[in-house]
Amino acid sequence: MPPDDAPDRPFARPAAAQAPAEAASAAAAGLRALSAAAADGDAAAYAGLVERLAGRVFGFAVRLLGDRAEAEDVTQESFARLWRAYDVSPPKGPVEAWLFRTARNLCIDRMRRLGRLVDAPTETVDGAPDPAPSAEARWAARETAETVQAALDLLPERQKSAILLVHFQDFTGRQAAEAMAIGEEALESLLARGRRKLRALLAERRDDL
Amino acid sequence: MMTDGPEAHAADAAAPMTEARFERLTAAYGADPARWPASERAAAAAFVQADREAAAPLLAEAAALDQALATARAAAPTLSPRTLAAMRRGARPGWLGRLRRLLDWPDALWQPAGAVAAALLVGFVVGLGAPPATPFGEAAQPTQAETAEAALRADFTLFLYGPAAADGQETVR
Repeated sequence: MPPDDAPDRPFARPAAAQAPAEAASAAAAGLRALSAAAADGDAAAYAGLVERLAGRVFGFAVRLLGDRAEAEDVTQESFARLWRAYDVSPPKGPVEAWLFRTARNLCIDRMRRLGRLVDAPTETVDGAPDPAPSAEARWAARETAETVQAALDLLPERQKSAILLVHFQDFTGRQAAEAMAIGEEALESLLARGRRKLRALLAERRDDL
Repeated sequence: MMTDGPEAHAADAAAPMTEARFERLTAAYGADPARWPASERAAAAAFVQADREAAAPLLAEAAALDQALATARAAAPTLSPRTLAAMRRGARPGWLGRLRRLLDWPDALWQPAGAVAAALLVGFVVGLGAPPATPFGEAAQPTQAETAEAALRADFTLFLYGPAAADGQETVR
């Protein structure tokens, strides 16, 4: 069901996506600076990259794989490969795109090895019990989150990756395309098909209730 | 949100926004203009203002899914503290990187130092092979080793060929 006020506020943004463009630009510049410093051997920059990107890479991997332990392995391996790259041949483009491309490839390898898309996480994503499940709004949000995650897990990997990068990691189309090693038009097509299927799946869920 | 560079979609910047393109845009990126390609944002906004009747249902449909995705996104997964601590410990340059950086040392310092070292090495090698220097105007005197070698050669010739040959050799010398 669309929000009642959507037609009157066509540019209203979801609360979670309200990062100002200036802050995003500054964050991107900060990452570029950190990456350049790491390429020069600055150990503090290595730590800075972990602080800024490890959680995001893990979030991407756990949603793609649906398995915390596998996702933690993928995150660690992605960063280990990044350190080796800085030793030999530092990434030329944005470090974010490099890291997410590596993480995605590692996830795909694991999914192939397991012969399936791993089950969706049924626990709260940080593995701990929800400390305040009594609030109705919180419960409803959690239910929605689980429903969306379950629907996401039914998408083909490429559509799912595209949606995770653009809608969960705030990549632009160009950056998501770079992270997936495809063109922007192909990414747009994946996003459109993924969103269409997701909408249909969520509608089915609503009909089932 | 990551940002497009100024050159992004430069070719699209001048293209007018059609309803079909606007539909593809919202179908792919959703209702949030911040997710649309930077070069098409202004044209899309103009389309919304110019044709709200066509734009509104597309935006409403996209916004509903955006909201569901935002709710799922809010349940952010977090790395375990143990894994994060292990990653922090491993976050440092390796020996290969240190070696590479040493070899790639800034030109201003590394290359002149290398040139000086090479010049010193060449000078040392040439100096080893050169004859001993003598003061200007003085004849070079045979060294003790040269004198001993000549005496030995004369004795050997005397032993092999007799006094005549030994005299001849002295004459040649």
